[in-house]
Amino acid sequence: MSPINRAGQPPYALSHVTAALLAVLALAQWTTPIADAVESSGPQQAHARGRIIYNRACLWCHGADGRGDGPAGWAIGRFASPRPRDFVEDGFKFRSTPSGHRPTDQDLFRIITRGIAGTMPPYTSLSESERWDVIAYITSFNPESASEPPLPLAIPTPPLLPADASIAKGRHLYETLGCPSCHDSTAGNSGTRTDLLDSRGLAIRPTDLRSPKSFKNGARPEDIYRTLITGLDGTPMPSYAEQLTGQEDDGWHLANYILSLSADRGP
Amino acid sequence: MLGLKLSSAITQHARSPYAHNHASTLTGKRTIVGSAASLHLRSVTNRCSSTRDTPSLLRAFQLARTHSGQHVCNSVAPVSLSSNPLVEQASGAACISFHASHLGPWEQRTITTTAYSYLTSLFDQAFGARMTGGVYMATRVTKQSPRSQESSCRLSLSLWTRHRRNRVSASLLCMVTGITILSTVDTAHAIPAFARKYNVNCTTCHTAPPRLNTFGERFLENGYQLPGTGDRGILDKTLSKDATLDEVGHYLGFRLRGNVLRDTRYKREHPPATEPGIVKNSTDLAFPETFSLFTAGSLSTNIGFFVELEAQLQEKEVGIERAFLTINNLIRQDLAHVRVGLLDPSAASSFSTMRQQLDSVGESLHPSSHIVQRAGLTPLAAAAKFYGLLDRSGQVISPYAASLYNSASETGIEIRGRPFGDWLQYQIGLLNGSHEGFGDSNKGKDLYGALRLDYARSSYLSASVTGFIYVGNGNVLVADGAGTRDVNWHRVGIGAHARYKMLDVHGMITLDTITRIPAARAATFDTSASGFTLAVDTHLSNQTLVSLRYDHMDAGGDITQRTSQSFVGLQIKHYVRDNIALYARNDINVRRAENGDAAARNLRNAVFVGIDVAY
Repeated sequence: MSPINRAGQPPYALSHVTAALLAVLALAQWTTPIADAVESSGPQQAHARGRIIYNRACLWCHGADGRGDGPAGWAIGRFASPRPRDFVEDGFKFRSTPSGHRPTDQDLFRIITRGIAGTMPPYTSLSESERWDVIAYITSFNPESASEPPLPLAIPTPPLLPADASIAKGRHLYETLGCPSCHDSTAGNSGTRTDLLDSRGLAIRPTDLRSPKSFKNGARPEDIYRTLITGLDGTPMPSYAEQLTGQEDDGWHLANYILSLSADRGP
Repeated sequence: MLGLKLSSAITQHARSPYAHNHASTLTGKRTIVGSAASLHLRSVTNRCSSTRDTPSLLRAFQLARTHSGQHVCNSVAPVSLSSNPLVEQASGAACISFHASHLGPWEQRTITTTAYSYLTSLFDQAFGARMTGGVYMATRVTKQSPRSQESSCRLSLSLWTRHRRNRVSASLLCMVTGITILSTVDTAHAIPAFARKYNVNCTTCHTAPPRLNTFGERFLENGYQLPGTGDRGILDKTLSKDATLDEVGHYLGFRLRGNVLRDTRYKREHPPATEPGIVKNSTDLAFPETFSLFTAGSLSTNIGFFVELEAQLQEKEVGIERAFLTINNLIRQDLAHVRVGLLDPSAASSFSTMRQQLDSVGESLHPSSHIVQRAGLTPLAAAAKFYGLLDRSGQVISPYAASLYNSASETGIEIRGRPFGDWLQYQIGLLNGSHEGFGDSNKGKDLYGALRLDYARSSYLSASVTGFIYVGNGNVLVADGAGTRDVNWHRVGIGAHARYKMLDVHGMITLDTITRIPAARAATFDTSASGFTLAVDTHLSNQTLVSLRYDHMDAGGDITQRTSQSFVGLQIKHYVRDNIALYARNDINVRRAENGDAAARNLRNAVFVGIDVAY
């Protein structure tokens, strides 16, 4: 029996609302990916597509001109570090290249894909090509990007299992390289050191080594190794490339020791 | 209701957490129900501390390693035990995660079974009683990336006794334990669901919760997806068997808040026609006052949802505050976002009713005469402002109730978007009506529209102005002596915000009008009212936020009751953590008290000290 209202007429209002909802649901299927306005390939097109994506996804923190002064940028660290990356002048923290060098595009891709623990969400919701387009755009902020592409430091294949001996050696290296001066001798009590400053003069806290999920440069052994040899430019974390040159195993010992401090391997 | 006390996590290091050669690390987090269990659990803890390299568990990992290559056995975390000696029950859950390549169903099943045996033995050890029942909560494999060819598996089990009397309680405990675990596992930084999902701090989206920064505003507008993108939702992951138990924690959060201390001072205590005990100088303990459970996120790409269940603990009222679906990026990015359901129209406005640092403090209406006994402390620009209005069911609408475009929730549908770029947002909505219950009690629908102009580019600066109009259609009633008559209640308003670094200024001015007033009431009913709210929030330090708010209401409605009101509120909020805030607040009436006959003048000063926790 069809529904009839009190006046004996079909319930037009109801059917209209239902039809409208169905139409809306149908339209929901008709969505398009971002940056579809620029379709052809090539560096210029990638730059143009990247600009569209950047203005929708990245501008809020990094600012319209890539200066790291986006409208939401201050809130992230407030009076302390971190602030969003200034693509024009700042050095980059997370690189595979030597200290003082700019990162490779692959480094940028890794950061966009994984995000940065605590501050930047992982943008896996952008397609791979969209991420490369964004990289094409953000590298254009820095005039140096037109020069020779940077060369990454080699990260050897991890030869060492994190056995007890390796961890013990890592602990020894941890002490001799001076890590406890920032990360505390009990490894990770980051609350004790509050006087460190980053290159902008903002207070910065050492990473809590007990919490791999908070490792901004990644928590896999190779990520830790990379952090050790490249350092984190703009922060008090120096590069240990010199100390580890020819002593590659020591880097893995240290990585093994750091990871042994927590049950959680992190993201 | 059983009290729940969370003890600190106890971490036991067996060997390296990522050892390939049989090593594992056990993290124990013990949830203790009832104080009597503490001593018992302490002894259990001591016993468990010696439980290293439990053979059955290691066997599982070894098996997994044998069958699936290296990088197995990353972590076992956490194990949680619950004990309630009053009902002699025990329950627990464990979540085991590891990475493995080419992990097949047989290996999963074997690991599950072996881990179950391990948990059973742990329970035997812990509680001295044999566990006779259990259930596998989930086993899932997630393909992480095509390049790494690596899979991630999370496994969770819950166990309980078969004791019939205890089964329901044990299940509840399992649930609580599970939620505790899921909430704890991913909280390296912060806190509610979205922060857990993206592994970021609250400050990625908030200047200071609940205020949003520009990134948070665009995240909200995009249907709880990262701005400019379309996230995969939970349904997509479920269909592709990618979902893990962690996902629950990514979609679930709660907020508990209230005033531990509430002090109110009046010009005149116990004025005529008020209830005993309501209008008196008093200092009360009131925490907690409000508990909100919310779940939100993306169901699928460009389809989001939000549900908030709110319990007013003092009034013993529980209900769905808001519940809506969002369908986003119709036709093209940011062209049209649709929301349908029980929604708050001002969510994407420059001045959002629901996102004020100074929380609303409810008024008190006399239960029979409906006269305002104690004034409310709310953003008065968003309030109803009229005395003597009735909703369509005949209930009195409080002049302090958030209403029309600025309502906390109304049933309807709206479309908004930014078709011309980020600088302009349009919004059009259709509601059943103002203060309607479920369904619509008349044929007329209320309509609203808004335009928002934005500047948000650089220099840590953002600003916006929103102009809106709300057109009511027989949405309220006015008594005319012979009964009640439909009248139309409209609102126009302008809201604005400006944020620069630590400073967040936002405000709104509204003008309400009533049309079609019955002739019999024309002389006794003021058909216009206005409200103004201006708020300033500023961080003194990373943890300390000071908020100042000025509220003014030029009330309308019944001329025998209507009284204008102006309050200034000052609040200092200290964030112990991103998600735990302590606050002290003082609201001062800046109008003359006169005789204290009118509630809006009688309340002179109010002090609140409270706690706001979100997780």
